Amino acid sequence: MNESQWSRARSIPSAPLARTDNAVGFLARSRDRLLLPLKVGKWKHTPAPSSLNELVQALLRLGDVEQAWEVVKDGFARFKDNDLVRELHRIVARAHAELGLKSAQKEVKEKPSATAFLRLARCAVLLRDLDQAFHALDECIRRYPTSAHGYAALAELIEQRWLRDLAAADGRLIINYLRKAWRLDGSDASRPLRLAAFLARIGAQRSALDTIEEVLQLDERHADALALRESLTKVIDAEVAAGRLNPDLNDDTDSLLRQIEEQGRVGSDPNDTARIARETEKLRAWLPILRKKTGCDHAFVLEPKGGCFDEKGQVASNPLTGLAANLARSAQITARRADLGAVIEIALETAGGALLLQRAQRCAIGLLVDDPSLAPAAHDALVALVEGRLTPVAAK
Amino acid sequence: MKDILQKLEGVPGVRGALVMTLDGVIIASIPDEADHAAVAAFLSAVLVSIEKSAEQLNLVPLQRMTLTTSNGRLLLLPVGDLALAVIADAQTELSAVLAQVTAMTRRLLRQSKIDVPL
Repeated sequence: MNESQWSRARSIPSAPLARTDNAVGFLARSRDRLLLPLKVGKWKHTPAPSSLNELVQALLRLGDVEQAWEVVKDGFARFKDNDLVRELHRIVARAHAELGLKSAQKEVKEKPSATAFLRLARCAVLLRDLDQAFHALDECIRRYPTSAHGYAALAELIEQRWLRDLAAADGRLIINYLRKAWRLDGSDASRPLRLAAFLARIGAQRSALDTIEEVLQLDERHADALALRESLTKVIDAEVAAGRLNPDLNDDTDSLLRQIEEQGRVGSDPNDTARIARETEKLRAWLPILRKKTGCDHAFVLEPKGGCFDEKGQVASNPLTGLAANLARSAQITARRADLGAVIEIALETAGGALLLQRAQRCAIGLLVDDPSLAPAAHDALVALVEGRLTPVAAK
Repeated sequence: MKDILQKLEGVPGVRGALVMTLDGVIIASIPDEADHAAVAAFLSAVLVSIEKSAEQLNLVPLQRMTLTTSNGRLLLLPVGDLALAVIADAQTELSAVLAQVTAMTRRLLRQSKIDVPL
């Protein structure tokens, strides 16, 4: 886009414009319109985070989110490590997704199609509104049962939830939806490859290999399929050599999924340990703030295997760690037996205090509250932490 | 016992309830067709597994244990030598249900003093 095109004033009304639709807003926008070509030129000739910031802010004030998004994408590619640019990218991405969500909602209402539902779901995911994303995709496959994209997108979204909850029911849905997406559109090999990768992740290597073989029957030179076959063959050979696998038997995927759900970890996935360690480290950094906020001395992070950590490192086994680990494990099994879904929180309320466990991704954060009357406030702080709303306490 | 428990039937958000001994034997449960045996057994295991460490931490006596999950909630309230477990919806505002459950608990407590089961 050249500078003369840029200089043309945008006449489309937008949300930012509506908010400043008064004399002050008018003056500010007039100034932005006048200075826009200058800012475009500055960014074009001397690209720097500061010139990007000026241009993007002006575009946002003028309500041109689409253009701001194009510019910020370009800026992000050039200055990925700059904090200002990263923050700018986050803000514009959110504004762009909100705009996309509104337009997709309108399209779904006025001219519904599978593509419109998929776009709605994608924007909802970007805005972290997973409920809306699930609803859009459920509606998509209900109205358009032959939409392979719908099934594949739903499987992808459920896989994210499975990685967090490890619910066997979700695992079964992922397998079913990916198979269905593949049946509906056999030309797209990404679905069977994704299915094979998921099967391999849960430890069903033989089923994964069978899926890959089917892909290779259609396209014997498919590079990703060949690479996956090679790595799977190595794993299977090693397992057979160790006597842990019978090559003539089939994998019982349902049993593997149930086992993972019960153990709360994916034993066969080497990345699982690293993923949990990353989560633990992230949560541990919040413990001092949580302590300050709640006035509780005992705050800790509990890993799925039962390991307990505070901000200094692993906590040696003691009655509190034992109680928390037992409670979390029993709760998980009880929830599964009662068909209650993934555990979100556990509260043990007694006359002597309360023990609160709040799940955060795959781990849990625990708080021992000495005064039972403080338990509701402690619970609110835990929820705020998990939802990313916890703020440091200001010094008095 | 069943008559008292049946008062929980129809309470908004309540899916089922059971009264059990602390070692997992079901005294009464609603609805009739539901199989709560596994839940009772596991709840009993929970109580046993946490008993010792809870005592060491002075977390006694237990007043209520709440397990919140993506599909619902499970409440466990000790009633003398028995325990009352309620399975409820996750979305429903529980204060009304809890008031009912508390009232039920008191009645069960009175009854358990008169008529100690087993």
